[in-house]
Amino acid sequence: MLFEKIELEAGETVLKVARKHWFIITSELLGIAVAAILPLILITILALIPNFLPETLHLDSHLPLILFGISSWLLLTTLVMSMVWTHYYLDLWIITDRRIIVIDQIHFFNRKVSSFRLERLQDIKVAVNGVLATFLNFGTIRAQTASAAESNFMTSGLPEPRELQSLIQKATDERLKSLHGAAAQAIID
Amino acid sequence: MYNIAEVTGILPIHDISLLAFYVLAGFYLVFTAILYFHWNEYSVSPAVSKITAITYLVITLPLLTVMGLATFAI
Repeated sequence: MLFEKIELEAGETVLKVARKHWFIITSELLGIAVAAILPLILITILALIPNFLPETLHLDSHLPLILFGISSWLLLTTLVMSMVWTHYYLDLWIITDRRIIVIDQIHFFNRKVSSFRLERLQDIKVAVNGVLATFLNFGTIRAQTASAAESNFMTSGLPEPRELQSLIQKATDERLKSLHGAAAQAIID
Repeated sequence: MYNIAEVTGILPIHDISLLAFYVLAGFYLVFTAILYFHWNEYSVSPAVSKITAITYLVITLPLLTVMGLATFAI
């Protein structure tokens, strides 16, 4: 399992595990589901319009072939759906009290795992763009670190982005306080 | 009996569907292995992995069975 591989430090606590908003996965799965039932709808329409097919062609006599075609199509669309679900579920932000781990599952065998410590966080930006994103409360979070290479971490479609931003900000403040004590408190204030 | 000779002039439809079935079954096996690897390696919740595996098998295995039965009925 993933947490065993990440190897959290002694005393490190996971504050939140965030995945993309349910609307993102629902809309993707719904699109595939519509594509999946399309042949069934076509066959039903063909069967309901008696004069549409040539007289020599009877659907009943081709039943095994139709069954084979439909079940193959349904199997392929189910595989696509499970792939989409896997990418959705394995794509996540893990926020601990010490660092942020951003896992970007782009495809099978294309996975980026980035981690940065909260004390290196320079800026965290939130963008909520569009009517649906505003009403359903999801958006893009972009975190910028002090590191020279790969200093931007961005994920779109994250739920409750402002709450997530505030959680990260609070965790960063706490981290700085614990590392630098009173001096950090003075900077925060 | 279907005669694909009208379409290809080479193979009967039964052979083509049988070939398609074997190719799809092979692809399914490879895909399932990849899926299992990802969920086993990267999942954060064993419960979700289990539910996903059960749902996947409950949907795909009957489809594969229907495909196989239809292939041999053609």
